[in-house]
Amino acid sequence: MNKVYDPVQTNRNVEPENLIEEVRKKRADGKRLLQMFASYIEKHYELVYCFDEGDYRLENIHVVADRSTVVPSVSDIYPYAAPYENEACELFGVKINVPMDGYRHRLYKIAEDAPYVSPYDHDEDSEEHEEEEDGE
Amino acid sequence: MGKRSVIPFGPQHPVLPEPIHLDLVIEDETVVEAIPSIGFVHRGLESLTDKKDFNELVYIIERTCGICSYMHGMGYCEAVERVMKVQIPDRSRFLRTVWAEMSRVHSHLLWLGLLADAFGFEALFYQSWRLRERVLDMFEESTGGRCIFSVNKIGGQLKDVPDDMLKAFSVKFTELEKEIRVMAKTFLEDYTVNKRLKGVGILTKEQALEMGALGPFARGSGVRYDLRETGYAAYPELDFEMCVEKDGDCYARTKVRIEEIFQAISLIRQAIDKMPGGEIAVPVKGNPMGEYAMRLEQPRGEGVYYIKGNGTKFLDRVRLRTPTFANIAPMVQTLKGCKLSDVPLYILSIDPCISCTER
Amino acid sequence: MKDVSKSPWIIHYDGSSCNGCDMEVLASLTPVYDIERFGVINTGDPMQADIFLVTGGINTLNQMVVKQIYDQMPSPKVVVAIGTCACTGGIFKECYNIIGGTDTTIPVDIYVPGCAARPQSIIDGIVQAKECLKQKCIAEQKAAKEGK
Repeated sequence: MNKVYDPVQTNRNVEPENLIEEVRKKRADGKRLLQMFASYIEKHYELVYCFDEGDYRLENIHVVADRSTVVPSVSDIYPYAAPYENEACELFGVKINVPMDGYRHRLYKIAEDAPYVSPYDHDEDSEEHEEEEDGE
Repeated sequence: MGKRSVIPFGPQHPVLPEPIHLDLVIEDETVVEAIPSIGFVHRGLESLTDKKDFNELVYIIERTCGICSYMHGMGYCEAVERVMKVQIPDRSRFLRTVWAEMSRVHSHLLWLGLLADAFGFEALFYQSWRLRERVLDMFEESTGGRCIFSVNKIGGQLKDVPDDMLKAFSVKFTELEKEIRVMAKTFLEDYTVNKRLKGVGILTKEQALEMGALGPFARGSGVRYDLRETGYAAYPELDFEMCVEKDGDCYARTKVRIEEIFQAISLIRQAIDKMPGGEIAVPVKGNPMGEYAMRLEQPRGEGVYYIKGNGTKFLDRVRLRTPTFANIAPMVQTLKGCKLSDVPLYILSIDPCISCTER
Repeated sequence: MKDVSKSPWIIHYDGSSCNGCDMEVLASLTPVYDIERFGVINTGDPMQADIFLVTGGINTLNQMVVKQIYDQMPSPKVVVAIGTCACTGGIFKECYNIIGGTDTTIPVDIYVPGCAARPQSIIDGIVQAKECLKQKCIAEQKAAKEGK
């Protein structure tokens, strides 16, 4: 591979219904899934799927979901995405249908459910923040 | 069809100093399936973004792992600097490269020692760690710490290294290289070591690409992928060649890592020769706004540092994806069909750093 | 019960440590710092160990593991907490998963602070642990004689 300095990164938003189609297109083109993770910002989830476009370029696909949306799992297209999806389910409480085989759906085995979710408003003056709220 | 039994491996075991748990399903001494479960080292670092601001987070991110500690701090600082469009001075870029490559040398020497201990050659374990102490002495002279240095900050470095100390390091590395070559001959040419390493733990190139393997684990199978070619820090001005082998077994991965030690020493000497003068940090004003995913070549593979800022001093999200997290799935794949006594070697050949994985 | 403090064996467990203190413990066993000259050997078996070295804080998952290793060791035994995270929880004390230092689960005799704790401090801690072990052996022998 040639040396590519400061490779380009692009970001794109995709609806949860079109996610599987987009991921299948990437797999058909032979692109590698780098990582997948969840964030909790202003009371909704944002899932980011990072793909390597070859020559070290990066494309990030952002999926916005709220607490009750069921996001489809990409583990049958990319089998090694299972640990990333397990992490998003266990630490954030995102609803993804991860397959049960392999990692048994309890990869981290922590005592609390969705401990990373905390409705903290990023005001400059606000100082209080609650611990996790009662989610499902 | 033999009898199947399940053997739990870990979390407390004499092979690795870190806790990892595997349930090995074996049939007559051959492993049929391996199911990992992690979570013993999970501290939950990323949830601290709402308690510490983006300047203080450097100290937390550095303590994700004590072996790859410098690269974590460097990756986080580079990610924030790109979001805030801060250009660091040249001397700081070269100093970061020198310390990063020294980190790579000490990490690979550590791994060689643990590998020798895993197949029972304790004298070789002591020899490689004795040589590693020289590198740690150089770290202590220049930064004050042996594992956790805390010299990175957003905008540059906290400490400068005088030029005569750097020239002395260059001479010390030349002598160290000769001693490492003598030791490397045992790893690569000794008859008993070869018997334990050759033909063991094979991962083909297609499997590596399909399962997403990274770092020397993938380069031992022929995948040409090294993030230093993307030109961060001072790498555009230095000249290096990627080390790649074709066979895909434990011997090939050992050879890749040994070649990388020598290449890292050559990069350190080049960087010290070309080190520019000047200041080491620029002042940084304001708060980060926007997102960026910075990718670095850690000793174990590719690390991704994603940050997202919203204009206040507390970041929205910090996410580290360390190479061992991505290498666990291919490792579980190679464990199928191996003998029970070779399991420690297979686990060690990906160079696992469980505290990086679980953060 | 004879005096075992002349050659105590150690067992080392890493509970949520970042590996810095663990590598320093292993570095103390290697030729430059060499605690093996005190008669110490690193064993993997809790039933043959006298000194228990713990690094890293205690979280909800490994609390049980640490207690189990402590219960399996024969008495007299000494526990040494190495590193700031094992002493009090360290920089991660505010994380949701960390309960605290080692003394939340098992009684600790010697605390070795530092981040990461240097090999010189670790050697000092183990030499003091040998002394502590000797006192415990003498106390046990006395109690056994008075019990008869």
